[in-house]
Amino acid sequence: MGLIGWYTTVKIKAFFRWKDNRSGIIYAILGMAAMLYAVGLLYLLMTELTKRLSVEHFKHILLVTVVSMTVLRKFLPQYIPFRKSLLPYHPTSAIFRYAFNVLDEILCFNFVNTVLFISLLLIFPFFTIKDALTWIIWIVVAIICRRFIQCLLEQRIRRHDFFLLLGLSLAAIIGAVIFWQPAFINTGSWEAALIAIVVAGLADFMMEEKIGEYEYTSRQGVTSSHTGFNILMNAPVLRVAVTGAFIVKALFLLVLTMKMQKKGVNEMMFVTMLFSSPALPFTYCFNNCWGPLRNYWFSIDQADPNGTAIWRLQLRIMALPLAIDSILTIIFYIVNSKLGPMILVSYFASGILLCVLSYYWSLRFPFYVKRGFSMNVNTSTVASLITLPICTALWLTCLSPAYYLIAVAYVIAALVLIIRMNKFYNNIRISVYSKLYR
Amino acid sequence: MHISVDSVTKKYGKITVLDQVSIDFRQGGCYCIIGVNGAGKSTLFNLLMQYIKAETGEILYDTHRFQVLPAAYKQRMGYLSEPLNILEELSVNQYLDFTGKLYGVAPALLQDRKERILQFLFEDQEEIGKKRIAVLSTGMKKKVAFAGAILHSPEFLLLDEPFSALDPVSAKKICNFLSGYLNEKRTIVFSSHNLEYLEAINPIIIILDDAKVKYNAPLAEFTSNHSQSISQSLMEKLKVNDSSTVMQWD
Repeated sequence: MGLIGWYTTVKIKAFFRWKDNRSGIIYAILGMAAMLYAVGLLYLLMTELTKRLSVEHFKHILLVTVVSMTVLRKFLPQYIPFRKSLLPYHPTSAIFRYAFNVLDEILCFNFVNTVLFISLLLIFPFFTIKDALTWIIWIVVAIICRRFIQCLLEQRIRRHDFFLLLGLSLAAIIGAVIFWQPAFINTGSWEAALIAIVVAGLADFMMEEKIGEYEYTSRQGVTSSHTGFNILMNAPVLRVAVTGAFIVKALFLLVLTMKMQKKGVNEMMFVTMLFSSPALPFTYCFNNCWGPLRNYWFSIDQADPNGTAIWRLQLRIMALPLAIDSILTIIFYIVNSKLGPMILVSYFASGILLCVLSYYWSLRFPFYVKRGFSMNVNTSTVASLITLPICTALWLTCLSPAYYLIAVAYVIAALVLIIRMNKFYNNIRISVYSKLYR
Repeated sequence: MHISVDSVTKKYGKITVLDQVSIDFRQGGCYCIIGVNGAGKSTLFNLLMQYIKAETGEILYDTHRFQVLPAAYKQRMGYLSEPLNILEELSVNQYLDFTGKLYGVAPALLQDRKERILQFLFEDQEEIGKKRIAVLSTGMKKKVAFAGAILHSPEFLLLDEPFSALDPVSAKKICNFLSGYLNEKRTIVFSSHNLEYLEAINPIIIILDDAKVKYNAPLAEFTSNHSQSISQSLMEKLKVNDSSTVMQWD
């Protein structure tokens, strides 16, 4: 459902492989076209609602999308030429190094956001330079919050430092809340907001330094206190990314609920659909099948060379994220009982299809990803191009009940696909091995 | 388990890595594959595990020809790959539990074997068990991978370079383990460049050279000239220049 934004940014990023391609201008145009497709389709589909939806609402929806993309940076492509050129001049002083890091992130971290800014400025006259500046401030807050969530979840900070940083992180959250209320900005409370950002920035700086110390000392040998076995919980990068993603999703659903209670259901329908999709766990699994999980495949294949064993592994990994995602969505659906069934039907139909597709694409186009969440090598362009229209088609369900048939077709397609995959797995496994280990 | 490699040819592009290779790995035998780098040792192991397909020839498992090796056969095999493909994000205990479960080892037996093998391979097995594999040294990782490969007591044990990166004490321990492990039902096939450990295991030596099997006979025959060391015999069999020649370098 809400995969338009997601897929144009996450999946189509196969286009944005600047490293491999020198014809950057063409790729920039393609990137912009992809974003225009997303924004244009969103705008087109919203024609029914635009009568009730003001320009301000539209801006808010896009802003929420941009901030969420910032927080979920690890899912998104990075544009690194700036970073590379800055490296030789990197100052040794800790505070300057930190300042450079932040600047570096703002400039380089999110190519998609940059393209979105330019697209909006070019297309929509109501989107002004002032709006763009406000967005940049929002992104700074989002960067700091994201770092806090990430570091705290990774537990890379010593216990006695934790409480101090927790206090400072609260300051960061207060800063974010101040910005969350536009009334503060309108009434001239910029000073308070800026102080909050400075405090949060200081906390962020201290946290980075503490992590540096901790990482240095922990090289002597890290012990694990886990006794049980869980693939997701044992892969720290995956655990952090998926937990972070769910925190963001839960927060957005909470904000949506509050707004819907105030202003009614219909106005928020599209945003609701955007954040009540199973895209998060799916993308998590889809993007990382062969990162930390490469050797899981190898181990399982040694013991049981059947497709079902790998399928069970993927389901086992997906089980927890999907369960959390479903619970979040169902709670949201129950609390906002006025919502039509379309969201829930589409949620489960797309969830089933996407799980099967993640299995299918990961075997058809296995890429060896060295890091847990490397976005430089991702899924194939073909997979992206096919998955994008499949997912965006589910948006049609909000136009007419007849389109519910799409959901039925998806479930049938998923069943057919999984049966065929298991049948032909034995022929595929050799090509998987050759791509992952040669 | 008896595995027979019959006239197998494997090419990578235009390069022929194995050319009409035929080897019989008999039940109860211990085989050491020796060869220079790129001789095709790992390729042979991958063929036995069906990770790659041969261009021509066939591999028979207990006289059966399998397009895909059934899980029942895979469960009877243990494989130590090179490079190590272990799950570094897990602790040693978790990895061994995971591997044991994959092979259906009963929990009580798994716990017992895990403790015994860790005690045998490591000085402080309790501490090692809790450590994440990622923070261990290469040699320690090798020992953990070895423990994972033998945890289900496979009938056919394939070890690709089991002694590389190991200290002499650990290598000697693994030699002793293999000597004790071998019986009339079990087969061990390993590759090695560390020839000094071979005498303790007394394997059948198979030399791969120029994509072919150059030599296939017991160690006793390999060093029939008792004045020669194993490495001298190998140099002779491979017909290479005397490696002790000092090269002048300016």
